Amino acid sequence: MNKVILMATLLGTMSYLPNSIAQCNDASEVARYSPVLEQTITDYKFGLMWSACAISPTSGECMSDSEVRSRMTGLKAVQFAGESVIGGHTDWRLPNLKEAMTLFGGCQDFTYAAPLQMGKYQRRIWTATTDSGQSEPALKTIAMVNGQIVSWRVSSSAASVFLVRDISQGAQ
Amino acid sequence: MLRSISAALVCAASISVQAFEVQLPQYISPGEQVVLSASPIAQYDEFAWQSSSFHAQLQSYGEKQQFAVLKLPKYASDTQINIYTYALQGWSYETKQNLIEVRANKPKLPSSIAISGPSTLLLDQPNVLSLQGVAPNTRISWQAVDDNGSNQGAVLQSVSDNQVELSLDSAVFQSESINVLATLNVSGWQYQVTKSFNLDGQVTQPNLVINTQNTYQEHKSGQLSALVEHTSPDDEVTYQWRVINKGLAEAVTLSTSNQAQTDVLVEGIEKVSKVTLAVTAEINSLDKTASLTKEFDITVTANKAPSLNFTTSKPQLWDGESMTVVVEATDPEQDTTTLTVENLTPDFISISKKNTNYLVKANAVTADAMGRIKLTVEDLWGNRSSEILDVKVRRLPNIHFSHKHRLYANSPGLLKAEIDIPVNQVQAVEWQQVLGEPVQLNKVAEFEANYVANEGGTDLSFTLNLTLSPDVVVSAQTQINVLSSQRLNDTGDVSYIDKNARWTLDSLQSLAGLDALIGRDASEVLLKQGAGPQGFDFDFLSGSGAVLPAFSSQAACLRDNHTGSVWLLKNQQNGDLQTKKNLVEIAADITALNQKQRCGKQTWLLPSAPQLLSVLSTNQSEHTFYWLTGSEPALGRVFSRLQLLSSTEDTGQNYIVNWHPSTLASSWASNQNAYQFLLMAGE
Repeated sequence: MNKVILMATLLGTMSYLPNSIAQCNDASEVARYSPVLEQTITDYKFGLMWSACAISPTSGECMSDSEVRSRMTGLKAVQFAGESVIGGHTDWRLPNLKEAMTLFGGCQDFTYAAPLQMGKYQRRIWTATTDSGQSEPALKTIAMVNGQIVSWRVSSSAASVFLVRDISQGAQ
Repeated sequence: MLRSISAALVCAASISVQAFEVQLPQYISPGEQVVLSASPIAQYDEFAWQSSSFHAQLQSYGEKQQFAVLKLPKYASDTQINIYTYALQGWSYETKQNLIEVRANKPKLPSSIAISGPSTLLLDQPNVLSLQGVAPNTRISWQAVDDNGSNQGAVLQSVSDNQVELSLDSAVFQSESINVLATLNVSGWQYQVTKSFNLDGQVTQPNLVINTQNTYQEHKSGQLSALVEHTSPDDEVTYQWRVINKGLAEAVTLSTSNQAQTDVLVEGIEKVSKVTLAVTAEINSLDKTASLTKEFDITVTANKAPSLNFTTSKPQLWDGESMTVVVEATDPEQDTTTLTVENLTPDFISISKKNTNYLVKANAVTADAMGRIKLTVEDLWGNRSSEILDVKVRRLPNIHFSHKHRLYANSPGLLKAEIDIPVNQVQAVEWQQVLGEPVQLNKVAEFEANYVANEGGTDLSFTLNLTLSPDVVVSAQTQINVLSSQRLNDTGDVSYIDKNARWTLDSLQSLAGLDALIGRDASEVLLKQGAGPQGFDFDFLSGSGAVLPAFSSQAACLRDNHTGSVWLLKNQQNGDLQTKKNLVEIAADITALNQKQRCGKQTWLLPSAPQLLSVLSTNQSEHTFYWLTGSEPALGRVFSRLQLLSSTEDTGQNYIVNWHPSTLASSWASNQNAYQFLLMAGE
């Protein structure tokens, strides 16, 4: 009986909530991302260029199909970003927290929703945003499954890497 | 020859004219035939002949039967034959009896007896002929006939006992030779001496010549003319035309029947027909009369129906399109013709006269149709031909744009159209920009073109022009909304980590690529419209939306000048930041805000997780809550741990941003509970 009431409440809540609450800004008609071009994908909505895939911990480029491990330490992630040459560009970096959050979306959920090719067993991605509340240097990561923000020490192999670069002024 | 001579005797001219007496031989041999004649004949009506022989054949002839041929068979046993001749005159008659003795062994005529004369006879002049070798006073009968046994144009005139003049009238005599026959009795036997004379081509016989046209046409008068050649100037020639056989014609009419020239009019035939005509020419002069008749055929062709030929300037018509139709009528006989143009499908096409041609216009149609025009040409005689001109009428195509109508600035756009007619019906496809900042259009397929939109916040408009024919272009317009790229706030992160994975306060020792070194926060020179910590740029707004000085006590909202969002200040007036509410209560607040158009906005909402994060700073000391609450940092307000609710929802849980003075994280929690929250108004 309680379960039935709960369902009714949920339905009532959902039906009561206007778009102001359960907003779902459906821009699906708009082509936000470009096709893959030289291992890059452009996000026209935010003026960012992304690596088209997770970065290999060994090559610093897109992971190959045979690579299993995509995670690397935060320290290595930051260093790889600065050294990567993808699509002829050398100004790659790790996304900050807010840039990384743009890869997540959905109307009835909130999960990774970008066309960037994930690495195998990829659970979270590194950001360049630090968590100064930690005693040991840490960077914020975002869980692929639900966009949750979790800080990890830079020395831990906690997350995988997507790289980003600016293509328009004032994007940050 | 014997037959010829016998026939000649029918027309023989008698030379001796005596009171009724009978000329006949004294002897006849079995198997011989002799000629008997009675003369004169003028005063008698008719003569009759009779013989006493049972075997002899006696056959009379001549105008009054004044001649008779007595033929005695070889087997006859008669020794003598009595010949009785009766000259009838009214109710009375005279009679003569003569005896012919039958003897065998008729002596041959001496070869010295022969007809002599000029080697060549002359026309229209007397030619003297004589029978040589005969004794004086020998009774001789002369005849002259042509090869056909006719004596027409030949006149004999006795000159002496054994001479005669033969005159041949060139206007009448029509033979190349003349046979002269002299019948005489020698020693009681009857002999006949003949001789042929050649005229050596002197004879120019009258010749009836008919001139006709090669062909004659029905309903058209055609000429006929006749001419008699080789006539004398004094000759009077009259003509008589007549129709012998109409052939397949209903009527054959001659304009005149007694002139040398006439017109013939043939009517009522359906195919080529022969008509048989005849003309008789009567030649009359003082001394002769001749008649020449010729039958001849003329070939008459039936009057043919006129024919039609038409050309159209276009193979088909699109809705509303026009074309010229040129119609030409040709009549084989050059008859005047009448052209009729009938519109059989007025629903599909209309027709009007344009000079000597016709203008055909397609009506508005919703589906392809076939217009039909009947062309009829008719000549004077009712012969007609018809042709059907089919005009394909095409409906105009519907253009459907299947591309996306919104795109972000600097992103490639694709224009794509589909039509509901076969593509090969379109002669040319042209995309054209008619609105917005000019873009470079590149045609990538028949109905596709791409471009790159440069500036956001504007609309682009393009037309697609389909050329269906030189006169028909169908256009459709499509509108593209170009969205501006959205801007993200920086995070407010100012912490550094060195390459040994240690915190450092020295940016120079920091790992390159950390958040604190990049972006608006790290910019040494950052122009702001308002004010704010790190890279944030805020303005305070009054309840009506007017910009107020920073931290004004009248402020109701905070405008993020970088993203364009407006945030409801969490203060005493709007509700403290620490106040917790559930979704239902928050929705009620939003409704009230929209109704009041708080800060000039009626698009208030609970922010999504990214929206909520956008206004937050990870900076521990200079966070944005001072600004979001309108509390000047200098006042030193302390913010405790916050659980900020976002509208991002997943199966009964909402995304919560957990802010703590030392860190910022997130979690999912039941949306049945009450949480702190911020409200924003979107663009």
